[in-house]
Amino acid sequence: MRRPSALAVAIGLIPFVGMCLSVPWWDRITPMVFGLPFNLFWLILWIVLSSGCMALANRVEERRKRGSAL
Amino acid sequence: MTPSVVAMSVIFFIVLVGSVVGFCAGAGRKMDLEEWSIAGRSFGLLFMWLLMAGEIYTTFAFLGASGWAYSRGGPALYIMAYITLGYVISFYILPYIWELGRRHGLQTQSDFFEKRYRSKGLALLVSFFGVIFVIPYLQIQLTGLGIIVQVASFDQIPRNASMLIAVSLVALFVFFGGMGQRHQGLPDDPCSAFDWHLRSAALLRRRQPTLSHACGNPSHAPGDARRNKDNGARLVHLHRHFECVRLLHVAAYVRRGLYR
Repeated sequence: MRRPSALAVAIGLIPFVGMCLSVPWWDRITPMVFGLPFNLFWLILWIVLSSGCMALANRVEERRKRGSAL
Repeated sequence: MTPSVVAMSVIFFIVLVGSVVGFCAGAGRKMDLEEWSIAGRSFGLLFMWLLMAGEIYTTFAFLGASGWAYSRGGPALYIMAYITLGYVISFYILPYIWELGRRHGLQTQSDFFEKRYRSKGLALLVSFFGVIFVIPYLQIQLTGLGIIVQVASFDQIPRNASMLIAVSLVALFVFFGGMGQRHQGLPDDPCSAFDWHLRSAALLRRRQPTLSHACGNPSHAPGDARRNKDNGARLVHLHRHFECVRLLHVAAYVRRGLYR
């Protein structure tokens, strides 16, 4: 069992930046999106985007695994 | 159809379906400890996904989070972030743990700690605190379940009744899920849950190679009991017993996830 590659870890850090480390930039009520305050909308958006990031990281890992198997 | 009738039928339907699935889960499978505790490491993608959903939507998601948001307002939004980020972290950690568990035949949390940190004391500590802290957790979850059912059924089902039903169902699921163990030489009618605990602990002791043994000689197959006897560390037995109580609780969670 090897460590995950640096690229996969970097992709995994994106959701942390989006949800944790950038709070002052998106923590506001306006503009309302779909009737949601902007910060709530942002968090819900990042739930979806995190799945995307994980899919990408998984792809990177799978490709690496296949590459080493060949 | 009044709303309360609709609500009641929905609740009964879900509990019924969950019960049928729960009782049928163990049928037709040769049951050993690995099968009983971790389903022979054979959870499929869909089942795992459903279990994860069951893990997230606890009483906290229904009552705790909403109450927290009601009393504290905006800061409660952190809940959406931490759950998501928790799963992000698990992507990097869990495959490693799964691989380690598969390779060494680990079945429980403290098995992992013993293997990874080579410390029986730590494993004992982990299972001890696991048992201790699962008690208030279970209590909170059941109380929450009672409140939710009471509210959802428009006060038609009293809180204590729903809690009692839930506990009995959980106990029955675990019992029937583990019934297959009679193939392993246990009597057919363990008379009480506690007694059954003890028997399972005995089963564990008989069938499990101690991990230190497995560390030293990876060639030993799991279940090779006699050779492990001379290894006989009392501490491991004790921790196995704790572990067994804990297993029951964990299995209870997993099964309860079906109709939570």
